[in-house]
Amino acid sequence: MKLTCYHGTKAESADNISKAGYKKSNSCEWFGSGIYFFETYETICNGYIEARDWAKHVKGYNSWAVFKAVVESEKYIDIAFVHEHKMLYDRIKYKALENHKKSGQDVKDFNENIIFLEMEKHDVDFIRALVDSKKDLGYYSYIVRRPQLQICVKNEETILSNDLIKVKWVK
Amino acid sequence: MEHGIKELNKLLQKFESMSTSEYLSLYEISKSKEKIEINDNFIDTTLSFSSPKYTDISEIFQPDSTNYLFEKQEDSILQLDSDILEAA
Repeated sequence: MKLTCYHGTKAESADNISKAGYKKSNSCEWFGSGIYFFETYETICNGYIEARDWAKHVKGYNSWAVFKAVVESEKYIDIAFVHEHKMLYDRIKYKALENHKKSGQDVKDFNENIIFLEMEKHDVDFIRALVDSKKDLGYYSYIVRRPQLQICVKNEETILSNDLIKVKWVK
Repeated sequence: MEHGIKELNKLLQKFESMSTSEYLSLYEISKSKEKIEINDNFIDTTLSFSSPKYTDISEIFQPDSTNYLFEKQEDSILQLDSDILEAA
């Protein structure tokens, strides 16, 4: 599978990334350690806008940059579009939750990141998933407002190209 | 068998055969790693909004500007279109 995706960052890091490439995060949150990108999917979500807003608004960088990358591998987990992957992921989540309850933990403390922590031991180059970035509104809500198609690249060698496409410097 | 399915099946087997102590050990690791490690040069590669406190970006996009495409004149849809065209 070949994907075109976008990465938002602070403008000051752009040069370093262009020259030396990315460095994977060590965090085990979300999909675990990796390099995170956003992908465009029809009119549902725009990878460029998500990458830009990630840098500008979530990270709060005044000066920001966006890279456009091409990633390719057949060793992927796609819980956005591959039916069999989604079904298997649901079964894993069910089992993980069962383990969580058996171990005496409260359901509200369950976090899917435990699945991706265990997945770190597996031979996976990237994970693709559709994420609702606006799910916690502080009240019950069932309308997906801001879906993001996220790619977590585990193996940097699968990044075939990485071009800086936008830098915005703000004094 | 397709690679992803093979890996997911292995992962399923792992969680099916996981003992309570094994799960708790994994759970503790996941909790201990919740603090995002920051590297000054590559801070961008961490995914801070994975933490529940960051998931609510609605705080950033106030109700009157939920159509974030139009949040600022400089980022109007026309400008974005030209950015994307330029990028393509």
